[in-house]
Amino acid sequence: MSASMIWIRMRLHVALAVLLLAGTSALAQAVRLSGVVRDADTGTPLRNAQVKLEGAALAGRENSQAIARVNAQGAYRLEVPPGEYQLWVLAPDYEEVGTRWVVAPGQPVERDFELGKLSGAGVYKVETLPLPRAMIPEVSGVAFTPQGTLVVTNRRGEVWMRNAAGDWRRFATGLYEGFGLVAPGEAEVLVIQRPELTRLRDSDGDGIADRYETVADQWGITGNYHEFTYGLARDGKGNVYFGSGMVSYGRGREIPWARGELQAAQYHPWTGPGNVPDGHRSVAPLQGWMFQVSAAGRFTPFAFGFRQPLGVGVSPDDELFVSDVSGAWVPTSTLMHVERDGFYGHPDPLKWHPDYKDRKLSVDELRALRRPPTVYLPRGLMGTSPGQPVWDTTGGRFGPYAGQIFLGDVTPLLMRVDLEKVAGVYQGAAFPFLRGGGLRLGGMHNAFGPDGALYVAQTVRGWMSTEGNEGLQRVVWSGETPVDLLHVKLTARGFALRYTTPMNVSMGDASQYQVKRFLYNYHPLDGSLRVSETDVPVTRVQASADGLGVEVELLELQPGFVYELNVGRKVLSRTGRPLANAIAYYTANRLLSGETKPGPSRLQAAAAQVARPPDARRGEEIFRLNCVACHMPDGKGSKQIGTPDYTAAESPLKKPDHELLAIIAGGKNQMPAFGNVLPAQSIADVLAYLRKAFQPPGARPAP
Amino acid sequence: MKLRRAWWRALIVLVFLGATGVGRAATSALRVTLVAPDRAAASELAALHSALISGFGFETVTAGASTAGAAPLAGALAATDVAVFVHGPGALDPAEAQAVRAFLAAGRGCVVLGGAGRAWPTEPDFETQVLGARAGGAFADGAALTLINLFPHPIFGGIPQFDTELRIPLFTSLAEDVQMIMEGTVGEATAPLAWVRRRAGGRLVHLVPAEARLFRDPTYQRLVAQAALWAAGRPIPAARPAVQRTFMPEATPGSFAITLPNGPGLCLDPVRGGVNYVWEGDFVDLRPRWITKEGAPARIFGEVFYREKAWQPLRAGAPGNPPDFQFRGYVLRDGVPEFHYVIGGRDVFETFASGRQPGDLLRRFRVGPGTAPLWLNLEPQTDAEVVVSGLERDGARAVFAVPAGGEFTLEIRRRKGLIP
Repeated sequence: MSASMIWIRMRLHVALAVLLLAGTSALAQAVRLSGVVRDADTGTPLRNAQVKLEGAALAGRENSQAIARVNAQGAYRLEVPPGEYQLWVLAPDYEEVGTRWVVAPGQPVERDFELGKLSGAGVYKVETLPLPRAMIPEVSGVAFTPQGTLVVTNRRGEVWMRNAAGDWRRFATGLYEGFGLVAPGEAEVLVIQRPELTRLRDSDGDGIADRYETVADQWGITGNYHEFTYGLARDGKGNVYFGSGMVSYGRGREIPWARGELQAAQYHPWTGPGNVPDGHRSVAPLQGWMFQVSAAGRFTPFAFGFRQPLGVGVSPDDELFVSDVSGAWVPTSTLMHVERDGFYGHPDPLKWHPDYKDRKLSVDELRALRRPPTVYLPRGLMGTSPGQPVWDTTGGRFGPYAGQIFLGDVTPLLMRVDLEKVAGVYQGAAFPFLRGGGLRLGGMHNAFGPDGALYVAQTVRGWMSTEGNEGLQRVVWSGETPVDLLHVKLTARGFALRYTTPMNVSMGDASQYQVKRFLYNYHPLDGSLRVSETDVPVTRVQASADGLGVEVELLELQPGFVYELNVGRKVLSRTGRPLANAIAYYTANRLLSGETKPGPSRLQAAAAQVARPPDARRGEEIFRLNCVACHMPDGKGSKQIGTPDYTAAESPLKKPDHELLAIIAGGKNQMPAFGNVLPAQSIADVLAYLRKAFQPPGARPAP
Repeated sequence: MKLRRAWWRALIVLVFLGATGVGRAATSALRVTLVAPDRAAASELAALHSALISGFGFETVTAGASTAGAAPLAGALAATDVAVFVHGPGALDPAEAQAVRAFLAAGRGCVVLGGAGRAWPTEPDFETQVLGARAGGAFADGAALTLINLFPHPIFGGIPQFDTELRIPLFTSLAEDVQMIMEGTVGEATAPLAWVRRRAGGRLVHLVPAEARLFRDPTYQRLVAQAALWAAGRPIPAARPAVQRTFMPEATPGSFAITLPNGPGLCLDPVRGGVNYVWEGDFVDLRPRWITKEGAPARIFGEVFYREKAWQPLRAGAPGNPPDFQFRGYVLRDGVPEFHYVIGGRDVFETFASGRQPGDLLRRFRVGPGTAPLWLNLEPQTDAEVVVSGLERDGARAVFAVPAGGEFTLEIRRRKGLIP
């Protein structure tokens, strides 16, 4: 069995143990968390905040998360098993709170949160566009004709056009859930509907489509509710791109009437306990693939391995980019530069690939075949289901972000991505761009209009409350320069940051830059928590004289990590304005040298300092939160999981401290490395507890 | 005993129909009786009354209870094709009440504008028994509608949108056989604004919005006129086939729900390559598909009388050749869809129309040039007969073997006769 398989199995067993605990005693011991979320300045309860926890103890839930929305009084309430969690408190127009929260067993916990107002309000204004009362406002696609006519489609299967005078007309009806479109001309629209790509033409000039031509329908469909067809984007040669998502197998309807021969069995079968954690599956032909249709109408399966390729965009250089949604084999949502014949992670679509369908690739082989995401969109602050990427080609009419990518989300969020080519391959930074300002949910398709505004099509029908959350909005730049991080570029020793406007002297203060890095697991569980998360000390900061740029050098720069950069509050514009967004996530797949494999880390060595004598009492708490799921409360381990019996005559506790500390920090066999998760002091505390609680009499450690 | 009672009931209906002239030629002017509950309401109907005459050529009278000062109600109802009740007939004397009851029981065309139980004092179960719904207060506390959604139905032929700022009464507990055709929305909440129902062998239309201002609105007048035509079983000139790709029962996802203005409805499956079934009645209810995340198939109103299941009934070359069917889309010609298939490399175009009888289906095929003959495999039917024309019939098969191309038709005739 390969190391990867062992790793996967270990994860599954951990998940099983957690699920078992969650299902039995731990559930009974679920801890109630409650409190109120308030405005930090006024103390007023916030009515639209949400409190989100994610952690291994929630592995049985979707995305390993528990989410509570506050009530009208700003109060939240959650019940979770004891454990260590990443906590997010989010509200439109407010800065987030993101921190670790260790939930100990026992009494309910009350914890209030205060959120500070986001700065930068008014620089970008969100406007809601009036729609005709005859249009069901489940707007699922937006585009402009070359002449500037606004075109939208909706989930009810209509296409509408709005002329320059603001008059709407219904261009087409009767489609099966329109979802994305492009409009090559005033009388021609290409639109995705669930079963096909359709060309609509107005051939008699009455302003209404009279030709509904099937352009492509070569992939399979089953009728499952989650079986979306995503797109649409068109390059300069007239090729169009779209993709097929996978079904949520076993949830909703699958009917015997399907297009294509069905293959329900997983390509990479789930061998873990219980139900498959994420039921998304490529059941019908070419589900989980991206497609290209040439201007001449030739259909080509283009790339494969997508879970739900919700956002499809083509760059000004005619390169295809696709966003995918967190779940199995997609550890958090992503934006990917997609090239022909590339494999992008989810193994189930390999069923339909002539070269791979019978090979049953191992996890190691999958990992080797997989093209890593261009940019990770970390869960928490960066939404849940990212939408269509569009490029700012407005020539400065949308502000200073020319050439950068904007994409929406099912949550009220607009994200921004700044790419660069490193050693010939795209990677880069993702930023939250707009959180609030009246932005609604469900903005999964976008288009820049001839007025330089970003138009956002919004629908959440069936998925969440629709009230006030559907329709069409546009984001308009006021002309005032935002105070923001414009670029984050990789350097040989860290990152080069560039601001949109000259900043004050604090921009040269190293204490104002906090950097941490983390990894995600590529595995069949429903998304991944951050692993190996650790602070990366900033060793030097060099600000440019013009106040726009700063070089941030790190103690260590390793490839393969996501780097989270936070800029401190003292960094203000020279006019005293704070940053609208002070956080960036840089996906460093490779270094400038082209290196993609991390080397030995100095950070682990730095963390291996123990400041005080080990404390078994503290170690007991850490053991309970991090170790008990596999090692069992009595320390006797589990043959099924493969963990040893600490109390047995051949106890591993016979080994000396330095050896055991190294195992805990670096991992062994199926056990993951805790060195980047727990400080050295905590690891020493755990070992002290193990010796105190489980070491068999006479089992003196070897010197 | 049961048989005798049914026979007796049928005789009464026949006598009534004979007396009232129902069954007159569809080309004759439609006779419409506007029924108002009181004198004030009758005067508010003047504009509507005039429009039905001048705009639509109906023979129209406004009638009411003896207390309302309008034309005598019983006589008017006896001689009408369709009664349009504005709210209701109001207080009636026993003879008038009996006339209204007989009218409703006879299955005559019935349009109700703003139906309200209080306007039917002599019919205490009017809302549940006739309308098929219960009234209860104002929708969304009288807030203005944010959306008004017209579902595909012949009544809306040539009416792209209906608009009103009026306060909308809320109706709930819709009966199973009620088919909503107009829906209003305020925020997250929706309410029925219009529906149709087939009851007592006749057709009923209920338009919830009904106030004096609307009676002067040309769109509303047209809506009432077309509702009257539909209730009488008359064709609506502006009506066009309704076409919607959706999730249909017993069909490949993305099949077409198609209804012809005068019926029937059919499910065209572009993957299987044929008409999966034909039903007698109106358009499908798409709300099960649209409202929820895990949407159910569309709901069909009416009885299915024709089915086929075999994969691709039309085959090129030989009847047993492997399926080779490509769906290429459709063209709307004056609102009527012509579907395009490529079968074994040969272009085939198909349109649908009502058959010899309005509830029958005529499938008309146009075939492009090609050397391979087209074979049609017919499936045995219990509730329909299939009449082919332009094909050489060979038992359960028929063949089109004209290399230059041409046309053939299939008429699917219902055996049991029409549901009114």
